[in-house]
Amino acid sequence: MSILFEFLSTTGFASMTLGNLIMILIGIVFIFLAITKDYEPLLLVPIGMGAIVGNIPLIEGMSLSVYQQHEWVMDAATGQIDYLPGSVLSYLYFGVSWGIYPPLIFLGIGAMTDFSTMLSNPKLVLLGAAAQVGIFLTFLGALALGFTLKEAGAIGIIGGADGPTSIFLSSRLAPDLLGPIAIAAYSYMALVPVIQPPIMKLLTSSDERLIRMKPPRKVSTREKMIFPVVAFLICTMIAPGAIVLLGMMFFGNLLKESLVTERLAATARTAMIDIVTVLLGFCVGASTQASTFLTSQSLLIFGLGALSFAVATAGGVLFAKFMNLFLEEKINPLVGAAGVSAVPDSARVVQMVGQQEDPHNFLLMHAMAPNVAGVIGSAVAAGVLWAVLS
Amino acid sequence: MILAVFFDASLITGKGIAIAVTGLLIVFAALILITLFIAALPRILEAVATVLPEAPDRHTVPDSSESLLPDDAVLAAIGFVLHSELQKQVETAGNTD
Repeated sequence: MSILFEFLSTTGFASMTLGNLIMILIGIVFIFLAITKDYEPLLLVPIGMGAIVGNIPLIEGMSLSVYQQHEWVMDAATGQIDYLPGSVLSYLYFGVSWGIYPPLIFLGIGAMTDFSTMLSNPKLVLLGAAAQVGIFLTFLGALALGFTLKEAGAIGIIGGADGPTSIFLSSRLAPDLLGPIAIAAYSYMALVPVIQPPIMKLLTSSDERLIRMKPPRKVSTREKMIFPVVAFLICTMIAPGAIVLLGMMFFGNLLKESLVTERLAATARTAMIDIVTVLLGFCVGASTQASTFLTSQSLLIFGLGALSFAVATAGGVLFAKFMNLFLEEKINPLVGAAGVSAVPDSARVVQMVGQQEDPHNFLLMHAMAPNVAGVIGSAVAAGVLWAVLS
Repeated sequence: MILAVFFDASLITGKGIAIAVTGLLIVFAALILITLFIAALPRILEAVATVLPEAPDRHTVPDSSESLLPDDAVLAAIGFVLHSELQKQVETAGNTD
């Protein structure tokens, strides 16, 4: 009987806290949203399940959590050094905490990205830069709320709307905040169709939303082959901190566009990115243990994250309107909202909002240009923040 | 009021606003250079093409319409079999009537 009671005391029911319950519920909500609303299911399902797994109360003496890493312990009496292995999840989490997964995801993103629309209409690239204002205003907001410079830099990058970049930078600058930052970044990416449309409509008139843009020109194979190499050189000469992320992304794109490494490109954009996404999403979810996640800091990070998405969207739209003051061929300002680099969701949102005004206006192709430029812009911003703050 | 909070924070942390402004300028600089390069690229390639003409592409991905040919044949065969079977059934039905 005593063994039974002893066993019962080790079950999850006995040591479940309110925090654990809340986090498990959040995990279930993520899975529910992914399945019923189709909000970024490839990310929210692994993160949601990870959150559930990470919040089952731990048993003392058993290595189960992502935070229970391996240790070298010296026996004081004998002087012998023993190796204590970490939990299985801690080894998988290694790819998150050391910033290994994000560059691999960037390789896959590069291998699936078509820069044609950007190459056919280069002025739209500037919208990708304008939307990065969200990063730097959130950085200032975080400083105002009392975060340190490094923490503020890691929080600010949420405004880039780029999950892997957020994880990469926070693993470098503020590893303690990695969980909340990653969850905030991915949650808001999933909520792009909810966050962006009201801001886009608020900042544009009906006439502006009706603007039709010229179809993009055909881009030659040579242009597409040369672009990744030169763009990488330009970006990393200016911001060497972006070498890892942009190097992998442009490498992936070169694999695709060179036409001689199609097999490698196909692997990078399918099997490899899927494997890394599963590991990354699950590990990030599992790192959201209530004891480390449910803090006032996390709430502030979530608030700042929402603000940064809104500011980034507004920045892109307003900059498009500003450009229209000087352009003969006007840009539909809705396209500016795609400057936040949530690829391709924000471009889809632009298409959706545009078609609500004019069902025959196709903005998706045009929106992809600032969208991919936003990926480059946020990686450059991450490189700058890393270089300046580390 | 909000600005005052930001300015206070920047004073406390020393260089917050400087980092933000510089960071945004660097992002713009990188993407403006990319824009200029992309805008110049067709002209550069035109100039290069006079010296080094673009060879017929050895690595072009095969036209997907070519791969439709076997499918068309299969579809035609399926259509023929279906038609024959339907004809048979119609004839059988006619005989029983």
